[in-house]
Amino acid sequence: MRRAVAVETPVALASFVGREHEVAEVGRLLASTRLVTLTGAGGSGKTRLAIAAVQAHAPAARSWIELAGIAEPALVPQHVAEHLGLRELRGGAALEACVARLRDEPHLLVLDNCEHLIDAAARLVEALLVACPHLQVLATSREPLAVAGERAWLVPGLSLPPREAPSEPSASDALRLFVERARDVQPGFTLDASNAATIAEICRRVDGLPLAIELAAARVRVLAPEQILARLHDSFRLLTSGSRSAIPRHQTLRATMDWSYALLAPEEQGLLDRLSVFSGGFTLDAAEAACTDAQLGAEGVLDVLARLVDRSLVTMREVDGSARYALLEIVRQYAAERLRARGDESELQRRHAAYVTTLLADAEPHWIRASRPPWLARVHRELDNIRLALAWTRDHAPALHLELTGRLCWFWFASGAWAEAREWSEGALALPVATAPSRARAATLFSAAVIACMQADAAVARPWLEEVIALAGAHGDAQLVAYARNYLGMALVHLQDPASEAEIEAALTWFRTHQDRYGARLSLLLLGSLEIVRGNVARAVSLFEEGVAVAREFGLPRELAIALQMLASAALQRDQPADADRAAAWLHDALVALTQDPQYYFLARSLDMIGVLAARRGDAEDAARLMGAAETARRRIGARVFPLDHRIVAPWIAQLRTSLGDAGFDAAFAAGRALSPGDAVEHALARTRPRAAASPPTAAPASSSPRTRAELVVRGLGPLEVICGERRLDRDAWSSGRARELLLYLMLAPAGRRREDIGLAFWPDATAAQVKNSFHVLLHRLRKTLGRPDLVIVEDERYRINPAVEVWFDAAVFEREVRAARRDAPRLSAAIELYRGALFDGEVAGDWHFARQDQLRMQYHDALSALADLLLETDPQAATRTLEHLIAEDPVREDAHRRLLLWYARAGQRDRALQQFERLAAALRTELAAVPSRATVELVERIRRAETV
Amino acid sequence: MSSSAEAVLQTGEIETRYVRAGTGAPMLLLFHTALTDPLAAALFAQLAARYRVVAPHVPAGVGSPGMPLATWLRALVDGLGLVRPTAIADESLAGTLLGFSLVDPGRVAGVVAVCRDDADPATSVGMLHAAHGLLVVAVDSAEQPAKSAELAIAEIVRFVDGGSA
Repeated sequence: MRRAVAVETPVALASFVGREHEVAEVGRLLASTRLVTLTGAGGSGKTRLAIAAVQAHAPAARSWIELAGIAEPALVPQHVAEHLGLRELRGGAALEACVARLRDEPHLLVLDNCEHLIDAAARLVEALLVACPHLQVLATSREPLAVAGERAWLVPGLSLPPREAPSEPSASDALRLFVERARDVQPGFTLDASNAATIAEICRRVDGLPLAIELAAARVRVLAPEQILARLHDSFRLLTSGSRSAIPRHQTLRATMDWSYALLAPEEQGLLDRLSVFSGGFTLDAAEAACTDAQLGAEGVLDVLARLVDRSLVTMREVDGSARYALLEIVRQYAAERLRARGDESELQRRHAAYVTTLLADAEPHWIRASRPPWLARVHRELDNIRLALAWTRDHAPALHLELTGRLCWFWFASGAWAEAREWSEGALALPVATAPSRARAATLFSAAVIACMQADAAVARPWLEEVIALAGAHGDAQLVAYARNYLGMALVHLQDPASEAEIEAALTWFRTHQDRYGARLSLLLLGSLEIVRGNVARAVSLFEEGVAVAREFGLPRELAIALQMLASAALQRDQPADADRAAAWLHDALVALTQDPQYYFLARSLDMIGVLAARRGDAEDAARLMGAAETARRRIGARVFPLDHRIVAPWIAQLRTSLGDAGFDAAFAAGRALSPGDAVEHALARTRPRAAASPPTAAPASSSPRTRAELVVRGLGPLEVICGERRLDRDAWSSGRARELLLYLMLAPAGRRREDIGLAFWPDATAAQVKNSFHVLLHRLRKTLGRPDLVIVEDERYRINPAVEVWFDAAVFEREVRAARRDAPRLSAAIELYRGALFDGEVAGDWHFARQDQLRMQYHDALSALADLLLETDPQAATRTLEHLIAEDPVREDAHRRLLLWYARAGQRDRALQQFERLAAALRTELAAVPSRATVELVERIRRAETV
Repeated sequence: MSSSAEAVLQTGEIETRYVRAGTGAPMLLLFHTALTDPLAAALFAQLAARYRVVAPHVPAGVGSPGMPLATWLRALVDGLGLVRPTAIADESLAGTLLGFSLVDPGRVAGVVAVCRDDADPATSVGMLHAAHGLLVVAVDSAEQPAKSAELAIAEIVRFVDGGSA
């Protein structure tokens, strides 16, 4: 279980400056207190201090949970549970599941941005601390949680520079931060005697508030420090009526934000306001879709957004190789106020909901295909936005709300957010708009019914599914009919209704006809389960084997693991030694698959089955231990044993109790329960033999003519030609020449390039922060132009052309073919034909490409030379043409001249040979101020003397 | 937050114990012994039904030259995340609170100063001055203390209800 419970501490968006004393103090508090809350005004640096403190002091087992995106207090326990990897919750058991997860091991739970949910967060923390003796909590909030045992700590302002020596940055964290952020926007910025006192005064004026200092420093490119101070002073005078000194920290920040906002261009102000509509961050696509206006079209959003990043008003981080933007919560609230004041809030929320709907519509086909994982991750990242859209549409756009709940079915199913799924979908069905017999009603009914089936709520699901079948049929949606019949079959199996088989068979027929492997796999497993209930194990094994085969074709590990488990469970119902061996191998493979896509429910199932295998072997103690580990995994998500599995496991437990005695069984079972999921998996894998002859799916043979199959074709030798899919991307298709250059740069580096390398090649004078911002702007443009976000990926921090995509690049083929065809004239000739001109001929590209251009040109010349050598024996005329061509390409290539004049001489064309020599001498004189080599001169002398050469 | 468990706020080197209860507009009860003073306790219970009430216990050392009350109070308001609370101060702290509210008028929404003097027992509470944002009440702690406190509380509740309406 490598990925089940790790919730990474976020990487600070910008470098963390100073605060050594504060980091140590938080560490000291954490060492002595179970609940520490960092308090202070927005912008005082609570989150960044928490990140630094956690990285410096926290134990390995820790979870970072951001609450800013949650609006509903009731969702807090569920949100925390989800981030702990507990998604398969049933019946709102989120708090219980969190307790089960955190009860037994030391763990630091970090709750960031609690203030808007303070009471809900306090209730959760109080309950968790009472129930989990090894748990510690670090919270950030403008207001303490105020629960027993809490130690709230007011995060102080950054240390201010002493008045007597303001130009020494090391003496003040505030000064260091100002200088560092100033250098982000103006690399040459320095602190010296001429500006130190002014900058120190700026830091003092903003009370050492980190965000205020950043906002001020971000302006050094256009304003001198004196101007910054003067304008800040004007803003603050408005607050204080010019009468007194101190102003509250939150008002200090407010005034700084007013100042920073006033300096923005109108289009920047407008975009910042509109971006406040997002919750939990956003992508460029989202901003372009929802945040345009009459003055700022989609094509202009990127530039304005990049400027807002430069001004420290929008943050950017990289997620799976793409940029994800966010407004700091304090900035988001500020911008939201402005948006409301403009009267645009409702329109933006409508557009936000429309964007979310489009995203879910795009994702929908992928839920039941092997392309699901990246879409699941992508949509999961937008969960806060989805919930926001759900809440807004419920109150303001019920028809869209119904559409959303229908489109979310498979996402909810796959992500395990079952309780939430029921709540939203049943809520939507209760709206007046849902009474019409629409396709949207059918889809939402299906959402509710699928989850009800998974929750063994078959009696509720049955009438819903029957209505879905009728409605979807009336609307001509055969796929929805098939899936509804499949799940109706599942519900009927649970209800022990013999009509189940006909429904599943009907669904299977449709899935087979339409090559829907996801559906077919599920039908086969259901039919197999039905045969188990009937006692027809042989028929069940046959169906499960077919299910495994289809699951392999489908291609995702979780689906394969489930099918293998079903097959193994059937085999375990037979009392054949060979079946036990096969079951062990299947369960081993299922466990291996589950480590790639962990889910506690199915992990528990594997552990139980492997426990049964151990019991059959006579290893009673190990069997009890494995079953104890299974119980722990189930308890983490509040799940129960699947009824069919219970039929297998329960008799063995009774037998184990007999053989070990109650005390012996309980001790071994408890030892298993104490195992961590990771240790339990390792143990179970060791207890199951690896399969000897598992045959991985064979890859399709490489095409012999890649250009005809390639998804991306790039011809860079000579005039540039890019074809992506069916589209030829001529110059008009590119919004930016630099995006085209980035493509070429990556094409030449199949193993990928680090962002730092790309920065050096494209923006050699920029700071790291500028490179990060500029790079993601460029990457976005490239992906947008290609129309394939997956063509450029990031692996091990290297950006590269996706190796899974079939690409044809003439330069790469040229190099490979020239190497391979040294003694093969036709093949070499074909390779040479690929070289239509210099690399990226006519393109505006940075210095980075010159070395490769020269290298490829040299290879081309060498290839011409080699071809001439090969042709001299068989086709001298062609050889001389090749040499002439080589000389035209490289007039000072002396070896080519010499071979040519030698050939002329041998052919009796002495005058022509001597002319050739004169051409060489002239070229050398003109181009290199050199003379022909001694060997050439001697050869020519012999030719002049009419000697045999 | 319905519970009123004791928690600790650390501002610099100062540790302040406090209790908090209720939801709504913020109220700050400033009594030297807010956790035990009967008047403070009664006020806390009544106000917590409709407001978010915070009652700190003034730490030892605060009020000394090294740690002025006003400095402590400013950090306390920041650390507790109180945005424009109505502050109700016992007479020994009322001066500091009034000074604070004059220097930082944006920090408090209203000020109530409780004066424990020998007011006329017939009225028990003498409202010395009631103006926008400021109420000063006197409580006779010598005669009929319970009755006096009850009337004072009623007056204070009327004031803060009006102020937050």
